[in-house]
Amino acid sequence: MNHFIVVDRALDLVELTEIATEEKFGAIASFLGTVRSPNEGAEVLYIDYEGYRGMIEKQMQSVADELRDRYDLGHIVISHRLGRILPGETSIAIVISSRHRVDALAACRECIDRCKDLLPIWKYEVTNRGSDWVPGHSNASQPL
Amino acid sequence: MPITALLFAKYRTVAGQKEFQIEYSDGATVRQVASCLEEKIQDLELTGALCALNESYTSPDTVVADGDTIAFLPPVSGG
Repeated sequence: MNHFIVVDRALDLVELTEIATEEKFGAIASFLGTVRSPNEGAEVLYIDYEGYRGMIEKQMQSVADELRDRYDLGHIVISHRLGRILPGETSIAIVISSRHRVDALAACRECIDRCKDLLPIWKYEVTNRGSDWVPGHSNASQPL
Repeated sequence: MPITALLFAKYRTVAGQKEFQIEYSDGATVRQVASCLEEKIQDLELTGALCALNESYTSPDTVVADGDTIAFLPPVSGG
């Protein structure tokens, strides 16, 4: 089963892991992406995350479909936080369960890579040296 | 033919607003909608933008239809 969560509050790994937990799945792999500071030599004060909310869950579904084509998976939990996030706080959390460890571990690694390619989300980084939009990826489709 | 165009992140800040209503003739493409916005909005440069039609990624050459929502997305940086 897939679970897609987009929120403006802190992500709780324990809560998300509970969603993915089921007796028949013997492996649970998780990944947390957090705001890093310093970044490129500058102290990060915070990052404002902006997203195209209506489209984010559709792209999470695409990612989950890709993963299920390749791996034998139980629950796929993909959650992203939007709004202002401080250094050390979690911006994305992925939890994937499977019957055996190989599938959950490989799928989790692939999941974060595909999320970074596909989710319509942008970062406005504010540091002690100034602020700007963080350069992104154009792997999702043919750009203009 | 009315369509809705959406701008996000850097493009939104350049334009000063997120949503635009545009009248278009039959057969117009996403690329033509982008050109229209660039002409209308000073300093807006959409080269390199990803395009979305009704919340799914699409090619710049896709023909738009009545009531569509077209979004122009800067390269994405989530995670």
